[in-house]
Amino acid sequence: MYDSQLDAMIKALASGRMTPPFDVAKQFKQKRINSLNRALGCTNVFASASGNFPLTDSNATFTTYTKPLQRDVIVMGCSLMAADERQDNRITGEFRVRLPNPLEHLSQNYIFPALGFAPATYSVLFPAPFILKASEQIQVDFGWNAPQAGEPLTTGRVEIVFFCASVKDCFDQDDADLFDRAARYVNETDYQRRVLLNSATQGSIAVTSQTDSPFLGGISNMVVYTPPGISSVAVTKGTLTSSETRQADVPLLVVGFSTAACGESIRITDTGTGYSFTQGDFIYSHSLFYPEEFIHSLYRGPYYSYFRLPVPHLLRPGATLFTEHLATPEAEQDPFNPEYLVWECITP
Amino acid sequence: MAIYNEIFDQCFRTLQGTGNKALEGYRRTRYNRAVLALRSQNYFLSCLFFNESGAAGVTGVDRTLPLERPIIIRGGGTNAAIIGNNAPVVDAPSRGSINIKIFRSGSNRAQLSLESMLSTQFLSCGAGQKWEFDWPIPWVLDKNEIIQCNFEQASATDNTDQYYAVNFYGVAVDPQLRCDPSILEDVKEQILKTPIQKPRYLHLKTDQGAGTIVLPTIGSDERAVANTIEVPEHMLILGWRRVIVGMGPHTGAWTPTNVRLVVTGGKAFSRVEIPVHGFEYFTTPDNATFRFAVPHFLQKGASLSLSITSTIETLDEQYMGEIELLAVSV
Repeated sequence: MYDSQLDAMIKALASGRMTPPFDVAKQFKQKRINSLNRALGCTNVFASASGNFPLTDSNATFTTYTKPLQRDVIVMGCSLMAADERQDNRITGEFRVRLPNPLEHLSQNYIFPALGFAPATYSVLFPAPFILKASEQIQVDFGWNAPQAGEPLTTGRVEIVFFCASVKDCFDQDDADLFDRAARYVNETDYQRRVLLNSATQGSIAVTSQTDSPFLGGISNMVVYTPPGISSVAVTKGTLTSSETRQADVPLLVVGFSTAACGESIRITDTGTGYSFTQGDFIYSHSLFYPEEFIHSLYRGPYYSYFRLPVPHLLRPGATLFTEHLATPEAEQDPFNPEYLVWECITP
Repeated sequence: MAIYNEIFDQCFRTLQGTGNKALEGYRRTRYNRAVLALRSQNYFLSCLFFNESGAAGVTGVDRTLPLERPIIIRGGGTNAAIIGNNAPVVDAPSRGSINIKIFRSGSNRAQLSLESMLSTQFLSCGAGQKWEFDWPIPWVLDKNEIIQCNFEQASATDNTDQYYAVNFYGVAVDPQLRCDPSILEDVKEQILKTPIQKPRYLHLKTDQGAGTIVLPTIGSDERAVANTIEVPEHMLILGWRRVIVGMGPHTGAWTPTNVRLVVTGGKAFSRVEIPVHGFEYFTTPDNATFRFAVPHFLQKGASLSLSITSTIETLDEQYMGEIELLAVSV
């Protein structure tokens, strides 16, 4: 869509106006409506599975399964994250993905995940998507293998998240109404706009970790764990907090996600539909977003400012995105307190 | 991503219940892409500069091998971008930096650059140019033409025996589809049999390598050959991912160039072994994979093999590694 909009804008300026010529506008609007249709027809499903090596032995293995889903989904890719997020061994061991019949194993060998499945920083997509039938499970085997032999072993929790999309075969009345409203918005506007939705703990006061003094204007604009007013003290494992965006005033296509989180798990709900992206599970926030890139350890990744959702999510007007944040008991690092969480959206 | 999106669309339509409507078009696309892959050949070319002393001011010249057919140069990269151990983004990392001039042969040819430029300025590193293998415009290198690189060590390295390489990636296209006609019939049959293409990771592994690539010992000029399984159906190789062979996950990509590879088996990707790091820098960090411009066609029952030779630079962590080929059934 970026190129299409740029093209339309260039043609508009070339014709000496701010709005694109009629035929260009018509074509561009049709594209926007098509992508709206696709966004309404797809829903993000983040299916996670986790486990840990039973002992620090290079022959250790373990197997984990995704939960059976209620619908057929398209599986697009996966990311892996280990509990110890502080070190460059944050993804430990190797894994292989075994798919139910009639699908074939993705790989006959174990795969070292760091380059391809590091969350957000690198491409997490498989060479091609595949369909996983409802009630089927994906089996994931983890093992310490070469080339990791000789590397430090840990028995920390390891999590794999599969990025899936479910597809609607028809729209119900609510969907059809929403589509009409969004299509009307498309027809009334020349271009799409970028909208950032900040997610914050309501009524919270964000303070600096050095002096515990409040940020200027840091009221209800960041994610804050209790006790409020203190960030120099580590958050107790298992502490839960929540954050919520403002209400969407027009239909919005949610395309990305960014957080400063460490050592926390999250689950995300669309309050308009009650839909949970993670099927009610908590997943490591870094399985979606990791601000460092793996090749140059400790370099904050300038390459991805946010995690791009596998398929855009259509947020209804009046709805919010509600996120629960759990200071993960198994994580080595404590959550940042306060931290930020931003959703990137575009208008239809 | 074109293949990925096509397959996603077909998955989407299948779940939406409209898959049959578009099936014919999807099959045609699959067949056409298989024919394109059969017709095309991916090529890697390389120019090398070896600075034994590591001192600044040392110069060198190298040329790519002439090919007997025209080749579309898609892009290129060098390993000389970020090779300092602790200061990967400064102008003079501990592995030094180099100036490069790139010419092509033939009279009256437009040159890539007439001036000597710091390698990071236009080939890699992200300083002046994105980490990218796709140059903005491809250009055609005619048959028997060569590309010449003039190297000049711009700042001294901390170590001796430093390799620098500029790799080029291109695609040759056969005007005649010279393949056994039965392959095309086979391809058609496979397309009819499998409604949606399937993804697969193919491993390159040495014997007794525990599923990975292991050189006999840590040292220079150590050699190993790795093979994939014989694929059970016609596959398209879209690209590869590599880890550790000369690039530990902990110390990162600033480990210097120390391994070369060539993929062979059927059509060769390269006539000679080439320093692989010239590719790595363009597979990271936002791509994760080196993706071919045109997929490589791997016939049913065939396998790919790879030969690796260690060079004489820093030796740690170069004795093992892993290469996965990203594949999709035809």
